[in-house]
Amino acid sequence: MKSNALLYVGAAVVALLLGLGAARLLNNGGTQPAHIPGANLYPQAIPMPPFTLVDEEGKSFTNESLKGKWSFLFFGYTYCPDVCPMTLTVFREVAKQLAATPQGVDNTQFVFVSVDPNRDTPERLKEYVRYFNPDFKGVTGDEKTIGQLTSAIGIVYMKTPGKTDDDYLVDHSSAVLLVDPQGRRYAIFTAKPSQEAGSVGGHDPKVITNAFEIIRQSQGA
Amino acid sequence: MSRLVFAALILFSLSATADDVLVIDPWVAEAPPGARVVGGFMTLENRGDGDRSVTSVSSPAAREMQMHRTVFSEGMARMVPQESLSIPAHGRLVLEPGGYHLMLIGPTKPLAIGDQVPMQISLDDGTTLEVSAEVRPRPMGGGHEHHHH
Repeated sequence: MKSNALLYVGAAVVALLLGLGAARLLNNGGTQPAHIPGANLYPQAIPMPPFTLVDEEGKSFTNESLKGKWSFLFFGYTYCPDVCPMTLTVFREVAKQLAATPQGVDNTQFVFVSVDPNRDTPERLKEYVRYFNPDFKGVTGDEKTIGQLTSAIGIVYMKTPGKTDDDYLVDHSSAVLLVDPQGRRYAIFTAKPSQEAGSVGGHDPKVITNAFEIIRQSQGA
Repeated sequence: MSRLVFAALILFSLSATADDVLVIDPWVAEAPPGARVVGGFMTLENRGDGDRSVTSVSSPAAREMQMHRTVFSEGMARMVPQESLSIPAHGRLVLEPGGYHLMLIGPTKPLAIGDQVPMQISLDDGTTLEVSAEVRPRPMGGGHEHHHH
């Protein structure tokens, strides 16, 4: 289609420019592409701290599980009323958009990390993430492990009490973290802030898809 | 003629009228299996000369209903409980994903697409709006697809 062809030409031009930018940066010892709208790149990709979590199948999910593909991580909980379903719906849309690109969606994974391990069992996560996309991963762990991992990577969360002990909500970081195929933190996508009237906040799938396409092409992977 | 009747029926089904406040397009987000909280959304239009507010909401389909606002700020996503929701005179209040919304806590049974969820919306003028909200899938994308009214 014409619009697709244009997109490819556009992407090629962007890739070329990025290649030039990357070459320049490489000369300076850097490895990151130039500024990308919607993404905050780490000045240098930072390895994830060592962790052992458990996935929705009850299998262990470790640093090794992040290698060999790009990973989008979002931190939330399955009893989350609005933000998590919104963001996983955004993930579903990003996956769909990536599936339509030349490089496809196969070298990516989408991982929902629970910050409510007391309630989010692997079984519950399985039901939850697969509702959005059967390929999505849901990982959890014991409270200490989740706490250590999140604090090490700058993700925060806090319980706000509900009317009963079991009814609490969890406020949490809204960022989407992009981990590169070497298991290193590569970029953060921040949610658009809410405004007082008439404008809701959140992530935009197009912004994530476009930024990721630029990143992926700049890394040749 | 039949088109008129049809239009009238649609209008009737979309707007539960209690004096000046209309409920437009109420819906409940389809929730993943086992969900214990489900979001409810709609537009409330106040055609009257006085400001109105929603003071409470309830539904036989849930143990409890609450009013909340999702706030994205300073890198956090927060749920902020609301004591009431204001609908300005000759204005609208939009309840939508990522913004103001209703929460059905503890649904009495799983909700499937197409189900109708009855709700009672109480206003500060003492009236109660009877609403039937259809269960629908969440729309694609984030808050950026919001249309200004």
